[in-house]
Amino acid sequence: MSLWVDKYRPTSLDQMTYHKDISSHLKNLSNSGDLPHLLFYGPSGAGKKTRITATLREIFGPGVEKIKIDQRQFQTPSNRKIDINTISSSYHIEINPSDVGIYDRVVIQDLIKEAAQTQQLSSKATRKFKVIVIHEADSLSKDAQHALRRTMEKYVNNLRVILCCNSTGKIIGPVQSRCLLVRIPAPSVQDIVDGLCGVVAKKEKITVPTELATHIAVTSKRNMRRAVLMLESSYVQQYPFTADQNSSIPLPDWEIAIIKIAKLALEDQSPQQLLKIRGLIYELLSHCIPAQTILKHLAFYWIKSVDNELKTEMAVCAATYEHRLQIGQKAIFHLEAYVAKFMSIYKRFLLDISSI
Amino acid sequence: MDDFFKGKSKAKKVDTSRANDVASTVPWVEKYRPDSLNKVCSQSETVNVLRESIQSKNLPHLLFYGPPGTGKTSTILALARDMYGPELVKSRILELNASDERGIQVVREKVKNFAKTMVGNNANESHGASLPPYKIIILDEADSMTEDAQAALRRTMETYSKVTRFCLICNYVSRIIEPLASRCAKFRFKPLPKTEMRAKLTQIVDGEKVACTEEAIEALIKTSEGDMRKAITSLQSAYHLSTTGKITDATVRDMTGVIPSTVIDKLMDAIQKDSFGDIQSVVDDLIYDGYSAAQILQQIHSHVIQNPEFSSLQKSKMALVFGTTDFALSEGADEQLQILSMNIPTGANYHFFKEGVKPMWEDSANANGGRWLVEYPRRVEKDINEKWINTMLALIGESYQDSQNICGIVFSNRKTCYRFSMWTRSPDTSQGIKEIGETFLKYLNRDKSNEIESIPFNRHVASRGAKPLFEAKKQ
Repeated sequence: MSLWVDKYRPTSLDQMTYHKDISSHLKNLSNSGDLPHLLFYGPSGAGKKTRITATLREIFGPGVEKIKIDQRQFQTPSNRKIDINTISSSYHIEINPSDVGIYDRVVIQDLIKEAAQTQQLSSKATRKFKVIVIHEADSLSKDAQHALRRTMEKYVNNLRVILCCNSTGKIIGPVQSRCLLVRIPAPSVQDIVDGLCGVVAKKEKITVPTELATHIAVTSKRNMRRAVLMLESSYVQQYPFTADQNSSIPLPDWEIAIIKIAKLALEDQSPQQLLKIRGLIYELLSHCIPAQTILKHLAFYWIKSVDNELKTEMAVCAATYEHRLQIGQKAIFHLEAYVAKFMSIYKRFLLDISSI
Repeated sequence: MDDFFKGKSKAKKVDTSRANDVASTVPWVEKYRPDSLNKVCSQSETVNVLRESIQSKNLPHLLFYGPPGTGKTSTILALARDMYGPELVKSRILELNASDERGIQVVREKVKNFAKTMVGNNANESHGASLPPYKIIILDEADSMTEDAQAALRRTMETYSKVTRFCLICNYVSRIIEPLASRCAKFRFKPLPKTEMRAKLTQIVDGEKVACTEEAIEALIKTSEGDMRKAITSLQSAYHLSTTGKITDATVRDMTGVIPSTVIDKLMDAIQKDSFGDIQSVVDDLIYDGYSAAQILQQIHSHVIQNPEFSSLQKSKMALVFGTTDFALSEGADEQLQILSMNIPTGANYHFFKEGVKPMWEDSANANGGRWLVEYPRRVEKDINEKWINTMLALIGESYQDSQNICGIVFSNRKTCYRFSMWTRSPDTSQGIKEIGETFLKYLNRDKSNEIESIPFNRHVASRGAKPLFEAKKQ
């Protein structure tokens, strides 16, 4: 028994319920016999990976799904051995270079050259080229991306690269100009509702009231994967669904904890309160909640709850501290600084108001 | 017997079709890569110099730099083919790019060994004229070479200059260490001009028999910004994507990830109205739709720069904000927060000054002067026009006793407040200045709303938060 998310993942381009035009474009592309290098980008849970696998299936047929997991070993220039897991079929190789950190350049250089210099041998193959799928391409180091540049041109006869990332911002220009950019927008609320009520509910033989589906779609922040997970968890909690079940859709624990922090800071702005919050933040961090997530959730909660006049300032200071968090080392400093900054801004505002 | 031959011919046919197959899967970028210097379009100065140097057989070390897709690699490959002919080109050239290991070790061994070998100068009869007596080492993407590796090249370049020429290719010439750069003849590759791009694209469109509208080509040229490779890749993908077989400008724009101008207009509207709710909803939509922050930034930038509504001062302030945001983005900051916090200062300043006085502190009339300052927070002051009109009319109507000391008046529209400042000349006669302040205050309070008790005066040069020099009280 698998999770609904995996169970109802579409396997072909025709089964995709939303962004029909992108699906039909991809279908045209894969049937045309030629395929440019592709760069898929879009927010998480929009269906990038699903579309990539479906496209591969469209190109090579069901043989793509016979995958095996390999452990490959690479040697860095300083003679260190590194291992990376690759998922491959006889037509394609998938890698996730973020596993190897700063050595991703070596992996890219070796793996791609190796794949590129061997021609497609299988007689059943419909295409002359192999495909390399690189997930999380935005975490590729600059060096590794440079290594991709000329390789992508040189071995174009027997190799195509599919990159998958959240944003094109971190992909260098030269690589972008060699790829066809495919933007996958997040599904709209309506798309998610259709997906939940139409596909999942029908196959699972349950009824999902539209209000509930809409509520899930909105709280999932237009993330299909999360929406399906939420539906399943509320199904486990209580079935049959009632229309007013909205309130009982469980938020993840960490989100509740973050909201608690946000509320504490709104209630009272004092060093004692800061100390209290600090303990809570530590607790969150020790449960491996990424600092970025904490900061972002805090920021949006505060932006939502403060006066209009303060909103811009809130956004600016959230952005500043988020940036520092990215380049800094120790997350707690920046999170605490952010909370303190918020308190000072908010306190000043309250004093201003009361003095008028 | 017949069958035997037939069989053979059949086999041959299969072979050729397979070759055709390979040819058809070659992207147009490769297919239309120029194979001789004469076919390199644009970059005429560079090409002319290179052609001269082929004729005189005296090629300097080369350094090509310029943005991606301007033909740097193509030019040097075409040059090599012209010089050595298609057969010998492989043995006379060593091409190393960022995908090869290029640490100091490789420079010391591989490059040096290749550089050492001598070549004959009349090895190839078929090519006609005798060949130049040197080989070429192409170091593509040289800006990603380490500094140590570059330093290791220095002496190598000189020692073997008799038998080897180097060609460095990079995007940013500043990343090449000075000693290397000074050993090379530098050629800058400019983004391609529109006419040349159009010519080349039309040529490809004709060559591939693609149905493509004029507007589509126009859109390709616009979105690629002088990057030929991007334009051709987009053209080919558009060709594959289009269901009807005809490429229109809509397909092109769809594919290149350009944000529709209506969305940008909406965002700019929200920013100008300074309504945070609107900004947030537009930004959320943009991020959920998967547009990249860099793209948003770039499009807002071009929108602002071409907009005559903003003064140059405003534009420069905005440029500062863009710079900060772009920096943060390139360091990996969160896209949503960054775009949301792009606090674009759209507030304006209105200056009303005497003839001959510039509204700058540096102006001789203002240099020793100061200003009376008053601020109205936006949350209390709803209609500022009345006050502005009153103060202006008072100024024009010579209602001030000491009016020769007045330089002008500034009204600033800010996010949180409105600000008036009355600029005066040097405050040596405190009496005159005080009178100006009192009159100024009188006219500000004339409409009987939000009356102010006293206003401060300070010199322009006084530091922020300094104690006011004078104060004018309500009479």
